[in-house]
Parts: sequence; structure tokens; C-alpha cells
Amino acid sequence: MDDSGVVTEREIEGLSGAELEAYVKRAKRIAMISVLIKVGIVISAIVALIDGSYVWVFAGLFALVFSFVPSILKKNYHISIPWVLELLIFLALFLHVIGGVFNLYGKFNWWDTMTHFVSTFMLAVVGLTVIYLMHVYWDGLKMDIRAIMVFTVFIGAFLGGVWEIMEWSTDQIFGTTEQHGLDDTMKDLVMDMVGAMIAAMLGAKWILDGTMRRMTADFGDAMNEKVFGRIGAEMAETATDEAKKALDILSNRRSQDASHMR
Amino acid sequence: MSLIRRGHSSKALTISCLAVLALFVLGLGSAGGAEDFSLLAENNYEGEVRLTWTPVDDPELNAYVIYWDTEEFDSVAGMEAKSAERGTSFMVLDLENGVEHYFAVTAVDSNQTILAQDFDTATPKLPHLKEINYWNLMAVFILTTIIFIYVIIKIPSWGKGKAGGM
Repeated sequence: MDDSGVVTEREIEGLSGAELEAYVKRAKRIAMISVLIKVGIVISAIVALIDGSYVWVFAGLFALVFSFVPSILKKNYHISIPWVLELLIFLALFLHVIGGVFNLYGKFNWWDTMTHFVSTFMLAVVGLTVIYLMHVYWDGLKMDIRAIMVFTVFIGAFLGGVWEIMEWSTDQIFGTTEQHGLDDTMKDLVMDMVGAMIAAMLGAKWILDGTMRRMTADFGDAMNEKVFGRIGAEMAETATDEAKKALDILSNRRSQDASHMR
Repeated sequence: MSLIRRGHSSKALTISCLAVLALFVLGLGSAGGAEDFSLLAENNYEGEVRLTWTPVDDPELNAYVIYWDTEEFDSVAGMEAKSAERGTSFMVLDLENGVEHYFAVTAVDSNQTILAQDFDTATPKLPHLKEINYWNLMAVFILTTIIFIYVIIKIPSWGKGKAGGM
């Protein structure tokens, strides 16, 4: 793998000609959008600093620090995050930061709705990717694509619910106003479900056309080596123990049967 | 491999420089005299009001002094200054949501003589508490659900074992 690459050797295995060109072109375009988003986060943090709005400076800095996580994972642990996930995570953070810094939450009614949609969409894509990787690399899980889609919606709805519980808890403990009434909570939950359903459909398309396999090739290899492989070995060990016990029981029964026969 | 990206950090640097330059040029272009001085108070995120004002192009200018109160006022005489800024924007935090606030910004010289001043009002509020259109929201939800169910029915099954894009 080349650390400076938009695409890796594993991603483009088997591609050639126009297919290869199109894949690389798309990956480069998305990488450029990621760079623009990071630049946007830096500018937003500077504007917030000039405004003296330190909450948003902190949010911008958090987003910026977070943006280094993929390269740290890649360099130190050889885990390459799929570019779609990276882009979606930065996009969700970016929309929230510019919404606060440039007053977009106040100016546009739909800004909060959109950020909720994008956040849940992102989380559902993360969930779908994890299920897909487990399906491919771990013998403990086999799922039909329909089941993957349904579970993606479950994950989105679950995380949306957890988010609302966290908001409610924050309000109860710290006296903040994260939750703005039943209407707002219901709107958030509806947008969470819509985001998760769209993520499930798009994810299914990526799985079927091979995009998901390509995007997650490196990530999957790393996960297989560091997580699934270990779980698989533990399961195999447990399975062996269970088999030994079953054989012992069978052997004992046979011995008993033999003694009865005599 | 020739297809692998090179030099994205230099592109990012170029874009950053261009963005900073654009902000700088926009800032320079909007400088004006005291007679054009105007203040805009806008509701920002909850409990916050963002104040922006046009710059005063006067060599005597020392600072912009900011005042606010929940009671209406038309003069800053005798009022306590909340902040003094060199720039042309300021974020007022920790205001009470739903209460109308009155703001003033004065451009002053080193003797605290007012060169220009303007007033504006804003009501900090929970921005997304604005009316939610139930029917639009439910239409989006129902339509997405129908499409989702249709896709679930129509999508080809993988059958037994592991398959699909692998």
C-alpha cells in the first residue's frame, strides 16, 4: 500500500481500461472533496476564533484533530479507512461546525434536519460496512443482502435513539437545552430512519456492483488480521472443546450400551 | 504506480491561501465611512446572537464598543460597555432564549468620542423549533419506506452461502 495514494493496489485489483480510469477518477474527486472539507473546517475555526465563539473553535479543532485519525491508523496500525466513510464523517462534522460558525442553524430551518440526516446516514453506512466485513471475513456471520439492508436500518434507528437519550441525559444532568420538545425529537427520529433507509439502499448497490468490496479491501484485511481472525480462532477453539465433550458423551453412552448388552 | 495521488497537501495549501486571500479582499472592499455605519444582529445557534457591522474608515478609530440589554435604549450614555473589539463582528453568548435583546455598537476614538453608532435587536431562540411541517416530513418518510420495501423485494438474493460482490 502507498500511504500517499487515493487508491491502493488492493482496491483496483482486476480493474483495467475504462473501468480502472473511472474508478480512479471518482476516488480522486472524492479525495479532493475531503481536502476541501478540511480546509473549510480550518477556515470556520479561524472565523469562530475571530468571533470569540470558543465553543465552535473547540468543535472546529476537534474536527480537525479527528481528521488526522485515518492517517494515524494507516501509518501506525496499517488500517486504511474506506474513503467513503472518511468523507461522510468529515462532512457530518463540517456541516455542524459551519452551521454554528456561520449562523446557518439560525438562517435555515432545514439545516438541523439536514445535519441529522447526514449524521445518521454516515452512522448507518458505518454499520453496514461493519456487517458486510463480518459477513465476508468472519465465519460466525452469514447474511443475505436483504438482511444486511434491514439490519442497517435497525442500526440507524438504534443509534438515533441512543443519540436522543444522550441529548435528554445531557439536559437532565447539565441543565442544557439539547432537546427542543417532542416535535423536534420526532423530526430527528424520522430523519434518522430516512437516512438509514437510504444508506441501506445505497450500500446494497455498492455491495452488488463490487464498490464495497474494493473500498473495504484494505480495511477488511486489517480487520480480519486484528479482529475477525482472532474471533475465528477463539470460536474454532471453543468448537473443538465442544466437539471433544460431545465425543466423550457419545463414547460414554456407547460404553454404557455395551455393558447393558452384556 | 502512476495512478496514485501525489501532492494533495500542496493543493490544500493553495486552496487555503486563495480562501484567505478572498476573505482579505472582501474585507478590504467593504470598508466605508462613518455615515455608512450599520449594525446587524442575527440569531445564531441557541442562546447566541451574532453581531456584524460595517467597518469605519477613519484614522482616528480606536475600537468598536459593544452594548446590549433586554430593555430598549436609544443612547449608550451611562451604559456599561460589554466588550471592545478591533474587528467587525462579535458573538454574544449565553443569552436567554425567547427574550428580545437590544444591541448597540459604537465606533470610538482614543478619547472615547463616538465616531459612529448603530442599534439593532435580535431574539435568541432555539433555531430548529421553528414550525415543523408534519405532512412534508411524513411524505418523505412514507415515500422512502415504500422505495425501501420495493428495493428489498426486488433485489436479487444471494442464495445459500456467501456471495455477492466478493
